[in-house]
Amino acid sequence: MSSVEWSRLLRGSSDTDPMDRLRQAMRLGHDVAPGLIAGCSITELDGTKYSTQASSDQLAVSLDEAQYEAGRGPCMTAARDHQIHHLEDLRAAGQFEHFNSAAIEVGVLSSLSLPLEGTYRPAALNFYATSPGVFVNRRSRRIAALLARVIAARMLQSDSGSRGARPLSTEAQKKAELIHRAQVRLAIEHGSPEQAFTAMAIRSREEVRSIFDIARDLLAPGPVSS
Amino acid sequence: MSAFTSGLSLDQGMLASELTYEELWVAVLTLGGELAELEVEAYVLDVLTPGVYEHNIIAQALNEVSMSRGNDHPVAYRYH
Repeated sequence: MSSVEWSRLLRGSSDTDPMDRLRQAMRLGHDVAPGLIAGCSITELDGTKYSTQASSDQLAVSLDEAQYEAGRGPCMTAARDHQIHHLEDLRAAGQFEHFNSAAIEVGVLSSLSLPLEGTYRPAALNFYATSPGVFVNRRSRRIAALLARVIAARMLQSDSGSRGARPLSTEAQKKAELIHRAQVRLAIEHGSPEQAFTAMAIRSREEVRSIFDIARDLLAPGPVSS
Repeated sequence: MSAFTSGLSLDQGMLASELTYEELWVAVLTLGGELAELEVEAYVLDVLTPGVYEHNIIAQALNEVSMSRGNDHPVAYRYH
């Protein structure tokens, strides 16, 4: 896994060139199923015209273009209809014969296309794999879905769900403040608020109690000496 | 080298919790965390390597849900 690359993409600043971000995201496509991804790409629909906005390599571009030329294919369906399109084994008869033939010819045997939600134009993220059934794997599909969400957010240059955007109820905010106060109190003993959190979490496990109860105890006034 | 208590990984704990990522994110924020929603998902899937604090705050969020359902702390904590 390319943890550093994921970190850059997730935390990338808004002044990074959008195309650089998409190219960076395409490199991460290989993490969906290491050693089995032949290529990945982003298809975008502008009016009635489909085009590939970014790709990991020429193979992915050629498979996208095979679909545009035929006027149908999984990447187009995913972008236009906002539907996940998974082709488990391209050797089996399917609805996209032209695409299946083009893919098999270059050694691609399965594909997954995911709609990119919330983008300005309809778009899809496509993965092409060298073995059948690659995207049946739950973990592969979840990583693909994460990458699609990150790309959609980056295409919008938004910071959706960002640090600081706190959709918390008043009660939840009070709980967060309680934990924060307890962390600050314990930090003197444990070195930092983060280490204090770990100490409270482990105490919560040892005592089989909620960490909020642990925090309340820590902040309760001690016995008054006479 | 990392050291963990016994228990489930974040990914296993997430599956067992049946939470959505948004629900987990809100649970992390309620513990005072300041992670972005997509970061939480990336840590759970282990495409982003969590530090001790990031691991433990997500573990605690999952374990709080488990306790609220009458169970114990299934997800492992990280000591260092």
